[in-house]
Amino acid sequence: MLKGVGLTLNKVQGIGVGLGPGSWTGIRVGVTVGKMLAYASEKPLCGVPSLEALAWSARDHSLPVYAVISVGVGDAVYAARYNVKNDEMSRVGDYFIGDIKGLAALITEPCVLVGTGAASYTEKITGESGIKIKAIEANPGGAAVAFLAARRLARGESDDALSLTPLYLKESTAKVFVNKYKP
Amino acid sequence: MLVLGIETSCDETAAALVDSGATILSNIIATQFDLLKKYGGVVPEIAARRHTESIGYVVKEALDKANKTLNDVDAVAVSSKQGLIGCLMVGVAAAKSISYARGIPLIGIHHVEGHIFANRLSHPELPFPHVCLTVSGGHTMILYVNDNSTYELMGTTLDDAAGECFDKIAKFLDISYANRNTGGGRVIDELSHQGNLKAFNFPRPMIRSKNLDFSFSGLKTSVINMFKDKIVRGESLPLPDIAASFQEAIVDVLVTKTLHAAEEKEVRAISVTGGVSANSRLRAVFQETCERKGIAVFFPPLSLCTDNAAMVAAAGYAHLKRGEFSGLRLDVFPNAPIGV
Amino acid sequence: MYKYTFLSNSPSATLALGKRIGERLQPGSLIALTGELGCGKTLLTRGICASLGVPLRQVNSPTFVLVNEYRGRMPIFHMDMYQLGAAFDAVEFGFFDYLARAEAGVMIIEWAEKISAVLPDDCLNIKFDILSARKRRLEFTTSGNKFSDLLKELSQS
Repeated sequence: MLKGVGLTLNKVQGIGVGLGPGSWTGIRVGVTVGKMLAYASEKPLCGVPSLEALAWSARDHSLPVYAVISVGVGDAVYAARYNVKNDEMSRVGDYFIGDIKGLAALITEPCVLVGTGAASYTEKITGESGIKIKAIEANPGGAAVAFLAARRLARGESDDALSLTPLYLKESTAKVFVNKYKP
Repeated sequence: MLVLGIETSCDETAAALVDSGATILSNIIATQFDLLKKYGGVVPEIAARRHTESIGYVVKEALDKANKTLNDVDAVAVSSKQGLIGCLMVGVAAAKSISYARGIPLIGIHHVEGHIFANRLSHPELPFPHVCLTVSGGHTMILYVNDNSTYELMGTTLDDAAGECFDKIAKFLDISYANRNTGGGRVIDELSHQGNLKAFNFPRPMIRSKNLDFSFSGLKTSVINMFKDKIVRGESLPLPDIAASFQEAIVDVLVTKTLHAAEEKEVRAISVTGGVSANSRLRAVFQETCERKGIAVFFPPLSLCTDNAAMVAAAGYAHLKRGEFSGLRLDVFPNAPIGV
Repeated sequence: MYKYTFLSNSPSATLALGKRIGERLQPGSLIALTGELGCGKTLLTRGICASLGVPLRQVNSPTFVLVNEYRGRMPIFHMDMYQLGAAFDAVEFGFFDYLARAEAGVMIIEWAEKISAVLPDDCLNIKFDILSARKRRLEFTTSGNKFSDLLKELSQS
């Protein structure tokens, strides 16, 4: 990919890596590549939560943004809410893991919803609550990760390559799934 | 040529620096023993998470211990064939990153070939061709080894690996991880010193068979049934004797079949590798038997018997010297055949 | 609710049944096996995997490792929940992650009763009963339509 844009690793000034949540195998390989690339090239590293990268690509200064990634089981999703002010993004509240109904219960005002399959999620949620939601179809892409990482690195913030680990959200997943399926 | 070896095929995260396939500058292993104790086995997802946490640290330590930096490394070798898929992926991802970042060649290695090289590394005098028995928790196989890294599979296990059988019986006899800070095989080895190996005559499965395949589940069942039977009858359970006799049955089968293989191929050298090659009784019986038959037998030092990255680096060097390398599209193969 | 009962006279009958099941499996299948030690859960699994292109010898019960992954014509996740303490442990070893990956393949769970709390509704349940040294009764139940054709075909063959 670097070859494609006429660059070599030498010219790159930092490495950004998506941390998850997502498929555990996928985020594991991604984080390993990111951290070892950073370590081996002696470049600064910055991990970026995947939902944040997603929200960034759909940022809206007037509406809250809900970023949503499918868990891949039933209609379960990972989600988080972000407010954008002066191009600064901040997460509001905890990560959410659960079904669409549960997510709908959290959304109490018009907002933007971004993710793969955003249109179908929005349809279901508006169906539940009647709230107006703008759907934006997007993947947690490399460009957003790179941008957010670069910004943080420019401020002198970075992560330690050797200790960086993925965002599995294991404990939260445990709470949700076991409660959901209990008879 | 300085090769960085990386090994993550099972539950040990390892990195090592080896010079010219012969001199070990560092050999670092981060073991997941506490998890093994908790679960009684290597749970793939949990092992893979651990690998991700450890991989950076073991690579760094391998370099620090050898007083080298990545600038000094000429190539990377990584176990990419045979093992747990999620675990292999971590090592391969790390190896690819290093290869790309430093612009150095990458070679993927079959884990069992790594074990074969554990002996080549520690015994440069090991002649070719020879017959190699790789025996561990995951493997029991006899390979005919040529110098050009081609291997002919002569025999393999039809069910449990020998090491697995040791672990299961140790667990069954309740003498394993919970009690000591070590694996089932080692515990049985130690216990056997106090036992009478002729106390029980356990079956030696397939020992008379012409073919060189192994089967240990029958032996396992036989030990378990004898044990249960004794409990039912209220008879005493002499653990050292049971351990010694059980171990003797396994050793008998391993030695007999490996010698048949050597005779079939008319080689004068046998190499024994893998975690179970650390077993003291196995070594003793091999030494005695081979001496009688005028065959040389080789074992790696204990530090190279279990999974490690030095053996991977050595195997990597051999391939690289022949101009073979894998490139960044290297894929993982959890179940890959090694021989023809 | 669909049901089907199979009487197996021998281990080879169980293995052959497994093969017939494997031939007809669609991606996204989850099979839950329950029954005592030695009833034939792993044997049936071996048959299923054989039809999916995995050699018999490669399929062993993952009692201590919890999960074995095989690559057949689709990915197979073979689980053994015997060791599991509580439904909570399922998250720790990645059950939900495997469930997501198994959408493209097959998941076979031995001692499935240990995690019945987190199993999806539309799985194929197979309950083994030991009738004698070699004979077994296998009771198939499933709700939803996913396996209805398979059960129909099995009962007719």
